Amino acid sequence: MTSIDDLRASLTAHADTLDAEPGASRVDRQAALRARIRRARNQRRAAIAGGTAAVVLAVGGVYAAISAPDTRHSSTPEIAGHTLERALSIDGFEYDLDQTAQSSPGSHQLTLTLPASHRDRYVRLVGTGIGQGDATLLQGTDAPRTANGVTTYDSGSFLDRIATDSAVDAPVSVPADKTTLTVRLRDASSTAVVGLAVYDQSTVMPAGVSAGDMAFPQTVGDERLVAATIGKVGERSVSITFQGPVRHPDLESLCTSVTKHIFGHVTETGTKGWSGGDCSEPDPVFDTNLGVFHGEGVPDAGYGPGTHTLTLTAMHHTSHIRTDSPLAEGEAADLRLALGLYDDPSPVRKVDGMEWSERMLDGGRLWQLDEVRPYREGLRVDATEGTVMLGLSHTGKTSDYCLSATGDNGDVLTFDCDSSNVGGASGSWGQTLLPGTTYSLRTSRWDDGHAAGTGLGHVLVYRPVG
Amino acid sequence: MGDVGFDEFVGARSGALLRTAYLLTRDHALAEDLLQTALTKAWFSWSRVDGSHEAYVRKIMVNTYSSWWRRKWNGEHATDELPEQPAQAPDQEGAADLWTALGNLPRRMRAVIVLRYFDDLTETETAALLGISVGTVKSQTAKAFAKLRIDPALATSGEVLR
Repeated sequence: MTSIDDLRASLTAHADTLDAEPGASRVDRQAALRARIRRARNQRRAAIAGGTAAVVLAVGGVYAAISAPDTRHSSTPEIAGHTLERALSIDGFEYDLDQTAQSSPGSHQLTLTLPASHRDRYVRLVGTGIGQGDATLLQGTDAPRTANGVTTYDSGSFLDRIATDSAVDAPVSVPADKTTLTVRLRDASSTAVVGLAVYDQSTVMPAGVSAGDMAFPQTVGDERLVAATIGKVGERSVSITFQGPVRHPDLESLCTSVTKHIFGHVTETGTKGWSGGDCSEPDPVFDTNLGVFHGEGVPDAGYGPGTHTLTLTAMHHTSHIRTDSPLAEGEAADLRLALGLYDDPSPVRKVDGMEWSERMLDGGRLWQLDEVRPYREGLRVDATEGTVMLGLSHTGKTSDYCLSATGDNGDVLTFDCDSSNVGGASGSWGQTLLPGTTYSLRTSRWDDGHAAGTGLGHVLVYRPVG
Repeated sequence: MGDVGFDEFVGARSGALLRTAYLLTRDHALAEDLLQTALTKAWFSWSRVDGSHEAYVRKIMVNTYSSWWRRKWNGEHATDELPEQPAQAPDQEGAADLWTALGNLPRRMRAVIVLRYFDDLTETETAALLGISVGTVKSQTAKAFAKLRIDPALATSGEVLR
């Protein structure tokens, strides 16, 4: 016979089994959370900066006014022997040259401190006379750890490297926080000069759908805008209608309001699907309340033929999206909503059950899938000719690992530990290998408690386009 | 951002929250993932939370669990249904049957049961946390018991929840 007391006892007894889980006490939750939060912040930055299409540039009274100098019409800058563009187009958005810095000949280091910014920004590493050495762009001023001829670069500290005699490297994203950039030269010639060129996001709206301070560029990498709308201030819902099929949809929804507990709720007419997020979450870049929902809730199979209507509605955030209630008229007068849909025409390759785009944007660069290789300890990846971005395909129900790459030149790159426990196909990407050497990949388990966890299935090697 | 407060909270309360997450997901790894997902979401609003941080995180956790039918996070593609693994059974055979039967409940009902009979929330608190009415909590509880009564895991052993 079973009673409520038995039910309580059963729940308690099973909860207690957690204490007996192997390694339960060894879960470094704080470290794992730090990694997740850092990743979430970076995703938000990327979402705002160009990884997603919609962008908020400035809203009077909410965001700080943009007052950066317009360098578009200034003289052509020459840095470290190279003539640079005054403006760049990255991920569909325009960036203007903001400032530059250059080292003295023979100097082994260049340091540049950037103030906090309310705009997304990129930096280009430039060098000449590097010779057989290299110039590495790092975030912060700390020198990488060196012991027994091995130099270790931790994830987040290394941004870029020039490993040829002379180069103007592709722009790399830098944080909007106050940041110090350091370029360290190694084994470079005595005449080596390096430079940095910092580009800030322009106030010029890209081609596409834009209104006020928001924009959906017509193209973002290979992605093409299918439909987009930007609501008026105070409008409580916006809709887009489009014709399918859209095989690889990338849905971008955005809401912003200083009012707390407002939830953006995306639904498709005639279906039960939904997605959404909190409009009043603080945004790390703009230091205000900004909800960006990047690609969540789209059907895995895409949208089929026929007419589809998606609606983004602002709701009172109760606790569950299905029970949220619509805003009353006049509430959240500052509310801004925007909804856009992109289609990614890039071919995909299925690896370990997950579809991977053969071309993808990451960190402001467009990458092309070059090869897919089964993972094994010590797997060799050649980055002698240029930067490589890795895609890491997980296997099994759970996957927990810390990845490191040991270069033949004595460099060791360590990356954030990753964990995936969602029970389906999964993977991560964005781990970049600095150019100039060949690496051996290794993983270590970061949580012995996940005894059932498996590691990597395949490594996808992406190389820059262009 | 109340970063110090957040770290202290994680150190002090995440163990208790993990137990709730485990009863919801029935899988240690998934429970850890669910808890960390909820804590990560909470971190962004930490300094602006009115009232109890624990209630706030629990609310995010339960609702993340309820809506975890499809998720894309860092490239992860979740399946519609979370995999269910048999847990290490407690000593009593009847409890194991009950655990199995609980696993057969729809996600929402299971959440109601866990909140009411493990976290000892009142019907009002459960309703507030799930964003549903007290009446719905009552009906979900009644339906959960009704389902448990006819669940094969209990029926075969002659168990009847009452």
